[in-house]
Amino acid sequence: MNRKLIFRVDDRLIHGQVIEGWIKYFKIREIIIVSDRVCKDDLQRMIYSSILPEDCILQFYSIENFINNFAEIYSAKRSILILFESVRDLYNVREVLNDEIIINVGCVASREHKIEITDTVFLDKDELILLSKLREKYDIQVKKLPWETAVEIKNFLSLIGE
Amino acid sequence: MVGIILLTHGSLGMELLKTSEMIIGKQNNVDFLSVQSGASLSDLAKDLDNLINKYKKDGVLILTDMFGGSPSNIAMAYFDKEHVDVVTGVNLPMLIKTFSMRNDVENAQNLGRIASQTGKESIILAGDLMSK
Repeated sequence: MNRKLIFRVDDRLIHGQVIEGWIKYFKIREIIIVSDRVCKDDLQRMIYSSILPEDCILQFYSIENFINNFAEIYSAKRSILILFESVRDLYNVREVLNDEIIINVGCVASREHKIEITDTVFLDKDELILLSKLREKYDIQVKKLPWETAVEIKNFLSLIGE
Repeated sequence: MVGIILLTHGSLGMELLKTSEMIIGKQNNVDFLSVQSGASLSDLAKDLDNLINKYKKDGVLILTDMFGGSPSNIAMAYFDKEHVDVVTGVNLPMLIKTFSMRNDVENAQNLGRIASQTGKESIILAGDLMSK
């Protein structure tokens, strides 16, 4: 199996779906959390570090550092799961995206004025606009678990009637 | 009396509470919170915050269903040696023991120690039992 580079939007970051699903399914040993917020929060970093299987390495990057270090991360040729807290954070690293990267939107919590895409993904207008921009160049898989069939969305804007 | 919060995926916590009350009767100073698919964790953190405050005098033990799951991750962030502790992997024997022991302990951490030990010891493989 070729190495997999997965960019996943998940506002819960590391939790059951990630540990039992993505990490096991793709035999991932390296996980990166890209979040300015978590980088500054010692307690959150400690919690996320403690819950991964022992043979996994977890790293934390701010958005800026992730972009600056991506060439090195990419060249490692290992499977890596890269987690973002929000669609906006994913969009902010768009310059590093390429066709090899699997883009997954897994968990985005429900809020007022959000549109239900799946049972775990609820998107507002701004998020749909950002995803539609990414979708012009890349495939986006909306699903919570790797073995599920992704919800295929060709035009995110059609969901808000545009 | 140390308070108890059941914080789980779906309605597991509510059902565990109902089932334990079937066995040992109605319990006081216990609440449950459930994490649903698509729910916002920051809303849940607010609810948890309020509940922990409610029990701040005698302390509170949070029982979660799975280490590494989001209910457990949220709970861990509230750990506080004096007042709040967390036990993951809640099961029915653990919950019943926790209810029955909470007048006999000084704080949440002592209760949590009893809970985690009971939880582990309550799991038996019939094959081991029969071959003794």
